[in-house]
Order: sequence, then structure tokens, then C-alpha cells
Amino acid sequence: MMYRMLGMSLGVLLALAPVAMGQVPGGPSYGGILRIGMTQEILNLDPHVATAFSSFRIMENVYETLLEFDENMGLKPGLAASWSISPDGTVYTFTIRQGVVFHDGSPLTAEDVKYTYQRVLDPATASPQASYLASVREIEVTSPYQLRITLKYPTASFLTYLALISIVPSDFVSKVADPKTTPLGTGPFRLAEFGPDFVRLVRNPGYWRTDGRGNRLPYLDGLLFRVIPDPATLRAAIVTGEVDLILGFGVDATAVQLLRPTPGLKILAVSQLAYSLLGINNARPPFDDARVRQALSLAIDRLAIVDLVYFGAAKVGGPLPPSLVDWAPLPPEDLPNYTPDLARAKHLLEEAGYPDGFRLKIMPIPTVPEALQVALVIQEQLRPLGIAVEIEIVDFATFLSRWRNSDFDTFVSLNAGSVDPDIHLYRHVHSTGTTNVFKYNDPATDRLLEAGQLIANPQARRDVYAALQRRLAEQVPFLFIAYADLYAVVKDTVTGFVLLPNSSTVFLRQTSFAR
Amino acid sequence: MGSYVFKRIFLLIPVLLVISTITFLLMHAIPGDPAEVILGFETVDPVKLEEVRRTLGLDRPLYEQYTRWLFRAATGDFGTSPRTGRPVLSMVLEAMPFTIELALYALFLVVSVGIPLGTVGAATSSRAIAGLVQLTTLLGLSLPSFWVGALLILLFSVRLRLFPLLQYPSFFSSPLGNLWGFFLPALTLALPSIASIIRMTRACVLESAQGDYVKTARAKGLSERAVLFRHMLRTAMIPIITSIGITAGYLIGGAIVVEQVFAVPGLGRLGAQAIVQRDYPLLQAVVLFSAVGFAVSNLVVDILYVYFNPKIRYA
Repeated sequence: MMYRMLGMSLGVLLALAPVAMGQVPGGPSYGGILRIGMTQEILNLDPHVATAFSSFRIMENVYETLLEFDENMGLKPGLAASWSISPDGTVYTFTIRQGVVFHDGSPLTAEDVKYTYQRVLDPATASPQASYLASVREIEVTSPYQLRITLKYPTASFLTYLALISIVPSDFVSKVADPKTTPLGTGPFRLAEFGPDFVRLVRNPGYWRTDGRGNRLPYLDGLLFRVIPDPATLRAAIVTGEVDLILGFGVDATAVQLLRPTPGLKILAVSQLAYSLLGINNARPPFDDARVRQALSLAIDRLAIVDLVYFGAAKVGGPLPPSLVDWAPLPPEDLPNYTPDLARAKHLLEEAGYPDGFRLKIMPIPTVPEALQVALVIQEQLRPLGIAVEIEIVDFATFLSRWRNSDFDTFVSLNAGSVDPDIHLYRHVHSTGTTNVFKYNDPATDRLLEAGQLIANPQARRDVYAALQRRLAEQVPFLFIAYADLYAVVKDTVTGFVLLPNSSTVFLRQTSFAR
Repeated sequence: MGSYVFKRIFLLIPVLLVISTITFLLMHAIPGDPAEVILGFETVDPVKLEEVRRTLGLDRPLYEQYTRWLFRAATGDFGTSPRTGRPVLSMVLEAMPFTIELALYALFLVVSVGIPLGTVGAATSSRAIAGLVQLTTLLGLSLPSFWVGALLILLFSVRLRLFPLLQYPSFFSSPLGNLWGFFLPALTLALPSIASIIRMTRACVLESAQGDYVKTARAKGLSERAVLFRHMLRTAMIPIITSIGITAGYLIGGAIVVEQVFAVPGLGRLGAQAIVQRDYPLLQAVVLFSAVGFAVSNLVVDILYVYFNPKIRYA
């Protein structure tokens, strides 16, 4: 009885606490440092040079882009307040938002945007993002807050590309000591400290954005990103409260199974754009015969992989991510060679001249733990066809080297996806694609990809990509296996964080601690 | 003694030269190269690859790359890490305090737990205690560090909440917090060495018990205690110290797994990353600094000999 009364009065006190502290109940609470744990080391914070997942998760909070993604991965205004596109799709005019300042206090103008894109295009920067701007003919500043970009040819995914390039101030390189370690943007947080395995960001007091009710953003005082290389230790760290949020590699289906019953933790999940694949060397016999590749696609039961490796928390998918509903990804059951059919697979192999099967090597990428498990399931699934699978274990640098030189029969890996179908597919399956390590060369595929780049009309573009999805499922340049769910685990006192399918952390700007 | 120390330090130069050459050649013998790692999954364009290789100086003949590195290293310039773009020396200097503290802490545990337990194991007639010591050593030697580390985290940090996880404040800002935070990693690192020192101590003490001087001491009517500490243990210390010297070197190099499990940003982890990412300049520096640590710990051991065995004199 005594305890119950004590509990009740405590409850009343707690309910009154926000009022006592001068806050409206239900409103955001300001303050607190959110600590984020991830397994990958932080290499480099130059937004135009970095490629590591961990670097992007940090920079998204320091830098902003002209356009942004909303929760459904649609495009919305960011540092550009508005824009217009000429009827022929080659001239883009942007109005830059006024009243935005960089962390050093200098105001954002159209000059900064122009400088940014020129820096990305400059070969001396060696930016992997330069290809995003490949179609740009001219960038002109027409007034302090107006920018005109003229393209050499219509580029359907141009706006998506702009949502991926961080805006830096016009004297960036001369202003900061080292672009790799001293980021300078307009984002909700700015750099406070870059340590050997952590990055500390603090609130940008001059941030321009407010929430729906007119409250200033961000709510948090700061963010602390910590590298915890061992996945088991990462899980322990969120259980003991050493960190408030974990995401990225190591926060997979297995981790979530282990953490689900832990009180005080919330699990956020979203269907991601990245997909696991069985890469195939299309130039090496017997895989140069499309029938052999089709047989592999028919023999491998993707749904079984989803159940066994991802505990059901993944979607079997075709060439386009199931989460990209706007692009109408075709359901796998409508795609050729997706429904398992061993009899047909056997028949195709006989036709191709391999009635007794053959030997096959699979090289799983060592940095993604599920890759080996996927390879092991495939090994079993190909046995009935007489295909003897040998799994090659290599280290990361060796994997990269052999991947780059197409020195493999097959490999299992993870491809990062994109919200735009052209970015998602072109580089992998076009005969001149920058990462076509599969040596896949199909004129019909090339034609469809090229059409998809130029056609800006959404319906016409959707038709092109529907045809392309069918073509890829028929030709099987490699096997799209599954789009796994993406996870973040947070303490249940953390509110307002939304996980995006591209694993972006931009919503940390509206995250707060519940009181 | 002074000239001996000087000679030893001088001898270090050819040793480091050989080590750096071997490291250099081994690194280039394994497949994969840093330019490929830097480009990652971005592009397979061979022109881009050549560009990156040129900026890293990897297009030069091997001997030229090596001599260039050697001359720079001799002046204290270990180059820049191609992955982080930061000077290798500052990365190593940042990581070193963590590893040195970890190794010293572990060494302290090895000496303060291993030698007493080994002595007890030798001196006691209780079969239960002797059995316990035997079991401890067997477990300590056979359980792998990554497993022990994970188990200790699960038990002491997650379940019992006795030790904090991932908190490594500097000793000078928070001495107690520092010792508390480093305890589990240091224990994990120390366990195999504790086990081997227990075995070593026990064997050495038992062996010295056979010595004539022990019989003489007993005949003189000294207490068992005095015989053990003043005569048996002191003689036994010489081989034990050799073994501790080797242990100290092992602790510096063996920190890789422990640093990975406990997320300690030390030299071992830096070295492991450098291997995985083919970060040649970083790996060269990590190996070199670890070798210096190994050599210094050996030198300290040799000096300690003199203290324990007056018969040994260095010149």
C-alpha cells in the first residue's frame, strides 16, 4: 500500500515536471547529447571525396544540399527554396533560400553553390560525385540568390543527383585547415572535435530551420559518433546505455533478434534500397550462356534465403527496390526466372550442354556477415543440379582487387541502391557502366538505360524501366536476391528520429530526448 | 652499464632496418593495393586507378618506393595515410598511449596475480589449491581472447553493471575512472600471460627447492617463509623475468584482438585496419613502433637481471 502511494505521487510529480520546467506538455524538450554507435571507422569528412558509410552518417548533420529527400524518398526543397525547369529539360533555375548562414557566420549565396559544383567537377578534387554532374554545360550566377544550370542534354535524374551533393562555402579550401577533418556547412550541427575513433558535433545556434510549431531546430545540444568495431560490443553498448542509438553494419537481423526482448529499447526498421546479389562473370564459361544464368536464377530460392539468413526481415526483389513505389518495381512473381523451378533449370542446363552440372566458385564479401550465409544457402540449393559449389574466403582488399578485375566465377555482395532507377542500375548493367564488373553486354539493355536517362516524362520513364526490369530478369546479368530491412536500435527515451531507406540520419535534427 | 645500454640502443638500428624491409616486402607481396581500396566500389576505370596509384607513388619501382620511404622515415616523416589523408605519425602517436597503458596494466596484472599464485601453487601441500591453480592456467591458456572479452563484457558490464563499457578517460583527468574503464580489456589481454607465468613460477620455485643453498638455508634454521622468499623465489626470478620480458612484447603486439573487442583506439587496431585497407605507410609505422616497444621492454628485462642476479654484470 505504502509503495503504491509512493508510486502514485511519484507519477504525479513526473507528470508535472515539464510544466515546472517551463515546457508545454507534448512540446519538444531541448538539450542532451545523443550518442551514436557504429562499427565502421570514420575516415574522411570531405563531403565530395568521402565514400564510407560512417562518413556520410556524420556529414549529413553538418552539410545540407539544394534538394532533400522526404520520408518517402521523394524530393523536396532544401537549400533551394524553389526551382523551375525549361520545357526541353536542359535549363534549371534555382532560387537559393535567404537567411541561411554557414557555421562560420558567412551567408549562403548562389556563388557558394556554383563554387561547390565546380569543385566537384574539378579533376583535381578527384570526386566520385563528378559523374553526377557529367551532363552540366554551364553554371551561371544570375543574382545573389539565383542560379542557372544549363545541361548538354536532358538528364532525368539530375535533381536526385543534386540532393546528394553537399554545399560548401565559396572559399572552402582556403578557409578550412583541411577539408578532410574540418567540415564547414550550413547543417543543424557543426564539428566540435574529430578524435581517433569518434566525432563530436554541437548544435548550430544559427540554424535556419524550425519545426512545424515554430520552435528552433535542432533540439539536441550535440551528437557523439563512436566507432565500436565489434558488433557484439556494439549491441552490449546500447544495452548498458553507453550509446543511445546504433545503426549501420552490425545492426542486422541477427542483432535485432537478440535485442528485441530488451526493455528500454526500440527497434526502427525500414525496407532499404541496398540489395544482396550473386554477382556472375558473364564473360567466363559456362556463365556466358544466358541459359546457364537463367538456370541459376530458377534453382535459387530467394524466399528461402530471406527466411534463413534474414529471419524473414527482407523482401525478395527484382532490379528495382520494392520501397520505390513511384517507379513501380515489378513484383518478383511477375518477373521471368524468379519463381523456383528445378525441372526447368535442369532442362536449361541440359540444353546448354551441362546435363551433369559443373563446378562453381562463390566469393562472399568479408565485410558483410550475411554474405557468407547467403553463399552457404546457395551452395545447398545448387546441389540438386549437380553444381558443386566451392566457397572462396578472401580478405577485403583481395575481394576488391578481384572484383575490380572481374577475377571471379560468382560473388555475393551488397550493392548500395538509389532512389533514382538510372543511378540504381546504369553503372552496374550498361555495357560501359563504371562498375559493370559482370562483363554484361546486351545492346537491348543499353538502349533502355539510355532512354531512361533522357525521358523526363514520369509515365513514359516508368514504362521504360518496366521493360528494363523484364529484360534484366530474362538475361540475368547477375542475381538480385533480396532487399533486407534496414535497422536502427534506439533507447525508448529518444523521440523524433526517422530512419530513411538510404540509412540517412538527417532526422537527427528533429530528434530529442523525452522527459 | 651506461655503455651497455648505449650499445643496445645502437644495435636497434639494424634490427629496425631489417624489420621495416621485411614488412615492406611482405605488404607488397599480398594481393590488393591501396589505390583499389581508395576507389572502393566507385569505379573500375583503369585510368582512374592509374591516377590514384600515381598520386600515391605506387607506380614507382619497389626499391625506389622503399628508399624514398626510408629516407623520409629517418627524418621523422612517416608519410600520410592514403585513406585518411592524415600524417601517419600523428595517428600513431594518438593511438600509442592507449596501447602502452593497456600493456602496462596487463603486465601489472600478470606480475601481481601470476607470481603469487605460482608461488602458492609450488609451496602449498593442499591438493585442492594446487588443482585450482592447474585448472586456472589451463583455462587461461586455452580460451581465445575474443571470446573471453565478449564474455567479460556480457557478465561484468551488461549483467552485473560492475564495469563501464567503452569508457577510457585519460589517467590524468580521472585516475580512478581510467583504471576502472581499462580493467576488463587489460584483464582479457593479461589472462593467457597470467596463466603462463603461474606455470613458470611454479616450475621454477619447485626446481630451486632442489638447490643445495636451500638445504643450507634450512640447516641454518631459517623459517620456511624466509627460505621461500629470500632464497627460492629470488633464484627463481631470473627465468621468470625472461618470460615476463617476452610477455611484455607479446602484450604490445597481442592487443589487436582486445582493442577490437573493447573498441580501444590503440595501435593494434590501427595496425589491423592498416592491413585490411592496405594502408602501407600506416602499417610500416605501426610495425616499427611496436618493434621499438618490444626492444625497449627487452632492454628493461636485461637491466633487471642485474638486480636479481649479482653474478651478471654488463659492460
